[in-house]
Amino acid sequence: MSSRWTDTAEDLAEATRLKEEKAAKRAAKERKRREAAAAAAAAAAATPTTSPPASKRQKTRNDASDAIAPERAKTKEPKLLRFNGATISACRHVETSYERLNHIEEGSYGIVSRARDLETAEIVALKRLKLERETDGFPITSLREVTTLMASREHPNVVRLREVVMGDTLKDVYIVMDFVEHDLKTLCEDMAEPFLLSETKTLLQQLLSATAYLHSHWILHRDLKTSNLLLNNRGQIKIADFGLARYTGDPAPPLTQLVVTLWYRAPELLLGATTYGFEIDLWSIGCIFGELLTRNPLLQGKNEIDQLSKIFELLGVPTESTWPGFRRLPNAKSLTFPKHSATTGSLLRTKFPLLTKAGVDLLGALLRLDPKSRISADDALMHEFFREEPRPKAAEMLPTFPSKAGQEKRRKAFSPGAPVRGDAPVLEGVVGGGVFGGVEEEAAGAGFSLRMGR
Amino acid sequence: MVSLLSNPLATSDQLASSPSQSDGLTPDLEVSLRWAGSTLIQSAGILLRLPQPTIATAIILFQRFYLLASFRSFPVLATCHAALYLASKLTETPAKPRNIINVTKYLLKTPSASPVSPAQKEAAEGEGAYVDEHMYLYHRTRLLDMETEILKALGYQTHTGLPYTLTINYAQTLDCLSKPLLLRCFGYLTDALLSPSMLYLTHQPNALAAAALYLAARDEKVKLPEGWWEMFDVDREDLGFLVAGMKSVEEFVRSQKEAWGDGVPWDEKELEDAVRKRLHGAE
Ligand SMILES: Nc1ncnc2c1ncn2[C@@H]1O[C@H](COP(=O)(O)OP(=O)(O)O)[C@@H](O)[C@H]1O
Ligand SMILES: [Mg+2]
Repeated sequence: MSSRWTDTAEDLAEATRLKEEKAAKRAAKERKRREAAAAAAAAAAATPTTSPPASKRQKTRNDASDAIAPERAKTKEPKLLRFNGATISACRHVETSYERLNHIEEGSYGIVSRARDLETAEIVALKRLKLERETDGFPITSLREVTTLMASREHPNVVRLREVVMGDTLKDVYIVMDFVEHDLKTLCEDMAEPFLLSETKTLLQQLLSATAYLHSHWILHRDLKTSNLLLNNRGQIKIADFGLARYTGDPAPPLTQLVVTLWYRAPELLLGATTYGFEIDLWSIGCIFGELLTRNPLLQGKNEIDQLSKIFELLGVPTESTWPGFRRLPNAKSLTFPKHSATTGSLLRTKFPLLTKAGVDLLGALLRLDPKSRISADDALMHEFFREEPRPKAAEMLPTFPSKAGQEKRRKAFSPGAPVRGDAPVLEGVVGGGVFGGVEEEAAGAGFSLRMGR
Repeated sequence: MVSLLSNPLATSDQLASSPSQSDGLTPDLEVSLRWAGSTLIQSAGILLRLPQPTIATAIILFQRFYLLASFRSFPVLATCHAALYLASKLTETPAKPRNIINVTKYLLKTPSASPVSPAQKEAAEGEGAYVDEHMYLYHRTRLLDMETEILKALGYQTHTGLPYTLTINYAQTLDCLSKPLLLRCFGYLTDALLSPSMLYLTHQPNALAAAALYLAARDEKVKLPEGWWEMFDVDREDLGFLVAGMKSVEEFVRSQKEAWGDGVPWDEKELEDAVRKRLHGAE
């Protein structure tokens, strides 16, 4: 097994050096941690359960005069508190805070890199936001990325946002996260054997737990897929890439349909639903579940129409009874469905012959065509599948994937990227032309075809 | 939009040391610029038909920013524009820079349209309340730069929990929910945004909500159970402080309006003049 983050001899040497450095810094870190704990306690005291120090200061200031209080800063704000919602403090500079080690996405991206915190020697991931072409200021999508990530950073299965730092210009902005060793897509591609069922359960459980947390905080992720799921060497999944995430509400505001990478995109999105909800994330999780079982993406459509036909091929064509009202969805009108009724059944059983009945049941519940009858993250966590044998393995017992020094670049399998974003400010509710606008195309699936057109 | 995050608050050090004052501004000028900026944002927000949570968010961002930055280095008007723009994005009710710029121009040029109107003389001189293309582009560039300056100063920590919906919950819990009561609550909460004590920077939303409810219940002669605020994790001392702070806003605003009949020094030159004048006055 290889990890592309420590794949050169230099890196190994670096790692050794780091280890020594780390030992040296441990004492300092320990002290820092104690300071932070003390400060955290103070911060906790600043919530209105007890009198906040801030308001105390304010009181004396108010009562006496407007003169500046003579006593000055005694302690610096501990850095670890940066995002605890307790203080208001400015961005640090990227160059003086981090030393960049290497790009994570080998050249192809160059926007996520591995770096070392110069103060603590910890390894982090720096994600540079793409702002150069912005004409409307700081993009709303990036604001959402930062705010949703910040709101969910306490969950053990969400990548932890550490801070946001800046470079020399106002367009030079970096999200700093904990560094996580692997992503599930690369792992699935490189693994000799798929995860064991007990391991798959653990991963799925963690993914569902984080998703339930996001949803309970009104956050839609909108781009769940294996390359956005990171896995550390302690068997913990970390949901990453909140680039398409946003807050939603009840009722859901009008939302753009240009979300979720094609292979993980729910049928209601493909059919052009103008409102959608948390169900779209659960569809993606269904696709990921299937992918973990076979190591291959479950539904690899070539385009929107092909994607729909692949979906219907696997799960059956929807009917008025399995998905009430689906024909009224904007893009359903231009669909021509095959006449034979044999295609309305699901092929999940046949596709996953080794999966237990409960497993197929959960997969089917996640991949329900009708979003209204799709299972929620909370309910999925309670599913029989997680209680029957084999039980989910303890996360710490998951295999670790050691890195091979000198490993060359991985050959990249093709996969579609996330929908365009950041290119233009996304105007929610406005869909450019519609995915099926004006196309006249035929996609053949097993036993039926879809005909699209006006 | 529920969030468990609490608001970042000003530390005592931050409250005690003002970047503007280190930069040569007198305390009274700083207080007045804060008030004027907050008031301009509130009035502009209303004209832009932005919801009150968006406006409140903008005012809080504006005030947090000047906790860390000087009015002399970052002129107040561009910050008002940027705070509105940023808050409109954060609350998913995006406003256009052009509309924001036009509206503040209108407010600053129209006599008595709002307490922030400066000299009537300018209106008399016939300057129209519209922004020409050149000025628009100038303001727009500054707005966009200031937007990122605000984010930078705040470390991209933009969380602004608000007390408005909390008061509804509290009133419901206490079984005293009524429209007149709620309107009064909201009135106090909006007033509190203008407080010179920066109440939203020193207290969490639950304490603000309780204080507004306390005052509203008193106005409406609604009896509440003894020590009810403790149900909402608010202690008596904080409540007392906030109640006093909220009650004094009206008087504060009156005194500011009186002091600044001619309008506060909005532009950089006016501000420099004001700083100089105060310097000499003090000598
Ligand atoms: N915290 C992290 N630790 C390690 N690798 C990461 C981290 N965040 C992202 N990556 C890697 O960078 C890739 C791109 O990051 P992502 O946030 O998904 O950005 P994009 O919006 O470009 O897809 C991920 O697929 C993953 O391989
Ligand atoms: Mg990604």
